[in-house]
Amino acid sequence: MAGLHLNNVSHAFGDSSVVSGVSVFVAPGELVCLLGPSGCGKTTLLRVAAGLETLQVGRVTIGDDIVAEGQQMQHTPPERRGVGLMFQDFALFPHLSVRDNIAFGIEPGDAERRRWIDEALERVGVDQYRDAYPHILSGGQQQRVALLRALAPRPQVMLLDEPFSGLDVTRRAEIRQQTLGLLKETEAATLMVTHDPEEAMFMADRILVMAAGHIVQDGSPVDVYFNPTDAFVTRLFGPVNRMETAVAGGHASTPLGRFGTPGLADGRRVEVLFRPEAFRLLDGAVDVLPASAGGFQPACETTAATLTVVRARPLGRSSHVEFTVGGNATEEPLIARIPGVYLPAPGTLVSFMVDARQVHVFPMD
Amino acid sequence: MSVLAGRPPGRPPGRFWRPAAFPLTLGRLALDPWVLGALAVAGFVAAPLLAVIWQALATSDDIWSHLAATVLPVYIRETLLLMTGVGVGTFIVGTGCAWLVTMCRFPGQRVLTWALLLPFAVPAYLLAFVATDQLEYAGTVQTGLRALFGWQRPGDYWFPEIRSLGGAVWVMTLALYPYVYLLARAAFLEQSVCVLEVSRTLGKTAWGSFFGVALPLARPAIVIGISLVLMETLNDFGTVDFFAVETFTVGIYDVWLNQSSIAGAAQLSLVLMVFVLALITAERLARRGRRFHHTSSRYQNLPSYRLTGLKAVLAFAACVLPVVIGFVIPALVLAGYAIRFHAETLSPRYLEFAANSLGLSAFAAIAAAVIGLVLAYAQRLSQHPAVNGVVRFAGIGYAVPASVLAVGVILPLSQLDEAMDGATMTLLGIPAPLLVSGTLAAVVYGYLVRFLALSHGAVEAGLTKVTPNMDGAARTLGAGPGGALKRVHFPLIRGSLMTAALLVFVDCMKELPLTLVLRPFDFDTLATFVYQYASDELFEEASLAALTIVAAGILPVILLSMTIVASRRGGTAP
Repeated sequence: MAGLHLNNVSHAFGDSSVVSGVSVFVAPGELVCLLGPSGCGKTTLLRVAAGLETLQVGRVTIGDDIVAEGQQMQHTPPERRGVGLMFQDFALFPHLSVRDNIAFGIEPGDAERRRWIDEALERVGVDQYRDAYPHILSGGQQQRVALLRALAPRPQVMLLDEPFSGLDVTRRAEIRQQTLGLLKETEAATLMVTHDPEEAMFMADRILVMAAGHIVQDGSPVDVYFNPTDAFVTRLFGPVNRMETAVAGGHASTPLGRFGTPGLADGRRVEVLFRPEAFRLLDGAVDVLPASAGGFQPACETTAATLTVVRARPLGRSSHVEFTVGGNATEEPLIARIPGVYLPAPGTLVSFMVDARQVHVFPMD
Repeated sequence: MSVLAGRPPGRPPGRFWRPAAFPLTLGRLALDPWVLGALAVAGFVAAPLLAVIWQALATSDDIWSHLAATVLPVYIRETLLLMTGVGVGTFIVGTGCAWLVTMCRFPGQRVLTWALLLPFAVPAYLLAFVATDQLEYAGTVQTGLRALFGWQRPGDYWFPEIRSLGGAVWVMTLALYPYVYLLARAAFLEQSVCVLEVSRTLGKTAWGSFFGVALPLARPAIVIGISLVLMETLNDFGTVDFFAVETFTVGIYDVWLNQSSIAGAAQLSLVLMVFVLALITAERLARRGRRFHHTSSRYQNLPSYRLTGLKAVLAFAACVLPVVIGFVIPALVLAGYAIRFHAETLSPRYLEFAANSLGLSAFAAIAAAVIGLVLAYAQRLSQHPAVNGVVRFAGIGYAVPASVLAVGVILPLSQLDEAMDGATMTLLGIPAPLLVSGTLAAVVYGYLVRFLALSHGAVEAGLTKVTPNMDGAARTLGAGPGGALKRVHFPLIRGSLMTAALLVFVDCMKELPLTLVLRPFDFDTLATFVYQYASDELFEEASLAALTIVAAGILPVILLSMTIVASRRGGTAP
């Protein structure tokens, strides 16, 4: 089978286990993101796949070849695996020009690849720096050079370690777009590590959520966003509003509606998580919801609630609105993210309704 | 069709070659060629030490009680006194000058910042020869004083005897204070801005800040500096032998060469190693006590005490005196002799000795740089604590006094020669010539064991410029460990390798005790030639050779000075 296959990989540094029993499969041409907080073992997994760490338990297969087998039964060194690895700090060689950096991994006599390099330099817009040294390039330019360097030897597998975290936020979107384009053309199996959920949603065909060395959820971006398996995954995409209640009659009741809780016994304590994006203004406007996200949604009824605004701040594309349900000042305000500019004065009463697909109920054990 | 689509990755079809896992592993430590190389080096370094220990414990001669009854107390006393004197002396001179030069402004301070390093170029024994030459009865100073005051006979006046323990303390203090000076200065610079500014705003005077704040904070650095000084003190032979101070080193050579008891020498060596162990422990503990700091720091405007009038004069005098006595006067004396006796000094023999020194030192320097690189790279590749430990151990030679090292080198090599002799006798019926002991190989071996830490340290420092991710990048792009070394590490650390080679080169040029004992018959270096002639009261004729040694010693001082001056200009100091 083609692509990258990590089979039941575990890794420990000394006594502390960093990765436990992780299995990942990336098909050629697919881009899979490992998403999770710092320290959850994502980078270690990448390094094991590249061969920079010796595999302790499990098996790594690239294409048809087993490149690593646990218990030191097999270890193909990194230089023979046909992987391209792009580091968070780019790790460009300071003593080589841009072109020589990119050409590092190809045979000196390979004219065809040299042509490819020249064309690629032009395409990503660093052509005028081809003979310059990396230290004069900006972060975004260095990132593109690092990407081209990893792609030049035409690896079967591409591994990216937080490739955009060192870049200005303003440039990130543009560079992401360009990177995605380059990667999709190569038909390499790409595994990317990030802690930014928006980045993962934008880039990935599939997202693997990791926490404390385990895979917590594996699915498409839509799946992971609309059907998180637990509170941790829900919270990955940003802060959520939280209400605690107990299951009654197969539902959890809140001022904003009743939400179905299949499989949970009555009396069980649950937390109801509302994404800030779940709130919909009801001001007579027709509420246009995107097409169904798919997946099973437990039966629920949402109620229009009248809420008291505490504070509203513009954030550019959306507005951050804080409000309380009961209107008393001591209550912890809920947070809504309303598209566009919406800045009611504190104390205004507004009608809100929530999109049930962005409300998730989990038991609190 | 985009440029990036197309054929599948350019690798030959079919299966990869599947290597077996590393054929040798020790737990999780893979014994690849680099690690084996590091282990072999450590073995070579350990051999002399183990030989000494083994010889000392295995001997049947009951020389020990004889030694203990007669000379051991003398050796201990003299050595301790010397160490105390030199330790205190270098502490005062080194720390004091470092403080004055860092924290105070007075005329001449800028020049003195780097000039205070100049005595590095003059090895202690050379300073001893010059001092004796000038200060003995027939020397310039006493002759001048007698002429001035009309004294006729030795009984008419009192003049301190230079050839004594006290004289040795003075000479070695002046020769070795730069170690403490350098380290103390770096420590003061590091801490100076914030802490001392606060101290000053709180009303402390210069003295107050010095004793109350700067000195305690710089303690780890100063401890390291003094440990290095004391290791050099234990190592020295030329000075103490010339001044008839009976230290351990002198004793070891005496028992070995004059009394023909290598076993006794080995036992004395064992005792000496106890002193050394204490020093190493002190130094290592002090290193751990330091905060980790970036050695690249920009020169900052320090809160300085401006000195005027008498204070400025005193400060200048205090700093310029070590430079003058430790470098300027010796250099002038030697230059004067070299010119005056140029007919005798510039001889074919001088050229022969110079060639010997240069060749031997260059060879050892290159070997040390290569081995240092192997060690540092093996450490980097393996990342295993055992390899780290092995490499740290391989650097132990700098602490081992030359006399002990000489005994330790001769022991296994002469065994080797005896074994080969036995083999040729049985196989061919003829005795074998001395193949290893008493050859240049022995000298180079001794040099390498002693100076490996120097080259390894310099290479290690250079390798920090190469980030671990660069290693990973090179590997995933198809370069194996050797390929990465050639294409990535070597170009980036070329400067450090050259520094490593230079440092070892200069130390080999100056080296005396090891060379004296390990060299082949009728082979002299500049250092041994100077020593022999000075011992025969023919010092003037060896002045050109001595001057050459000083000239060689200037090279690292120039490097260091350039660093200091460059950092002053606001650039980054390496």
